[in-house]
Amino acid sequence: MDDDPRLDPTGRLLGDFVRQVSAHVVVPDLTEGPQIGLRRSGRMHKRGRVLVVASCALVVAGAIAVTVAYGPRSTRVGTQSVPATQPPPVSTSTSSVAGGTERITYEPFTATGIDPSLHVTSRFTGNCIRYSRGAAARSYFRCFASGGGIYDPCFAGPQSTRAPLVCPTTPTSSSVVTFTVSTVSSDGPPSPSSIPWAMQLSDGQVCLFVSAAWSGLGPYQCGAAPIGPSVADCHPPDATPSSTAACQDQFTQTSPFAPTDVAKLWF
Amino acid sequence: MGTTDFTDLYASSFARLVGQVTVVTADREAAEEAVQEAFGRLWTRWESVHAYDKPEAWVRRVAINVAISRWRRLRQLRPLVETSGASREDDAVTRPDVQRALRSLPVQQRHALLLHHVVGLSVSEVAQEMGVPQGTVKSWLFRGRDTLHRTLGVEEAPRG
Repeated sequence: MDDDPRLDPTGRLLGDFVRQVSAHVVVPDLTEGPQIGLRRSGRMHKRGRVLVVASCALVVAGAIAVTVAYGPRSTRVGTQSVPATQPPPVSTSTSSVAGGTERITYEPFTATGIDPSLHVTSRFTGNCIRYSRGAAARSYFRCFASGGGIYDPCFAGPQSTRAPLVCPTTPTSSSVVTFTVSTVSSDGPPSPSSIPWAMQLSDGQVCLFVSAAWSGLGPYQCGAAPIGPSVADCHPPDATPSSTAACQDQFTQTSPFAPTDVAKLWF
Repeated sequence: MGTTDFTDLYASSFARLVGQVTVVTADREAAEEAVQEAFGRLWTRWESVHAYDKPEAWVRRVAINVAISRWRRLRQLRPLVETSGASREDDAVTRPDVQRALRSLPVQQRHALLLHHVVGLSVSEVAQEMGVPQGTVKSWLFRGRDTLHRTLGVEEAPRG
């Protein structure tokens, strides 16, 4: 076909349809709140809320669970705060220290199955999306339980998705859930950059990558600190051997970001 | 992190992408959610994706994958409900007949029609994007066009 397919009858028909639909779309304002990544936003747009209500509720009420439940990189419902008092099981990770920041590869499997030092608290079934990140193209999974709930990240063992995945609650806890995969799809091209799914700040706080990109805040959501001052959220850590991350005390636009030393990164 | 560029892309392409993804979902609300999620993912990968020739194409691809993934999940959960598009019609769609006609097509045919007739990709580019042979794309396009035209009474253009 020599002609532009957008100009033939089918192209004109669908092009008009796309333009008509687009004309009715209310674009969520990036300056107003944590709109990206929050699911069910379409209904909120329809009511003209543009997720500002969700944003305010999240900020004022500290409803971290909302973000965690519906954010695109969320870990799971109910992670109000992340206890950082329990050391990670040694057998579930391999680590290296570079310039003061420990880089840990989370390994919840042994050659024979799930690491016996882990405590499986729940078992779920559902569908997952596979991500590949980093130079080693390690696969992570974002899984949607049949009964609701999102688990991210989940890790596959030697049997890939033929065996249940392991989804950690936090990197510093031995409690995990397992996820039996019904179907799996891929999430586009692999990302060359490796993004830690969690980090621990020098004061002990653990921050999880939830990626509810709210107007430049986040995407790391931080929990309670065992000692010292707490921060609310952080930008991704820098790539220098001794990592720092820009963190802020409160989930507000006006709360200043300050460089914070990162003690551990989990990949 | 190039938030200005991200914001520009978001503002300039969000509505258009929702319109395009609606061709695949036949449901505007589902398309909005998928595009939002795609932008959420883009934000976390912006450092690498912004250097792509067409970051908007990346967002579209991810949004369509998200939408199809959810549709498959819904289909599993509610096998008796027609889930390849909501059963209702969107208030904001001024051509509900087109929406209904799209819903009658398999998702792959909608996807191929979108990429070829709306985005303007060649058959070989559509095949590459969808990961299927060119012959399959041609078949999907032919059947999709045929169904759409018969349903809507559109006169078929002569094709070479």
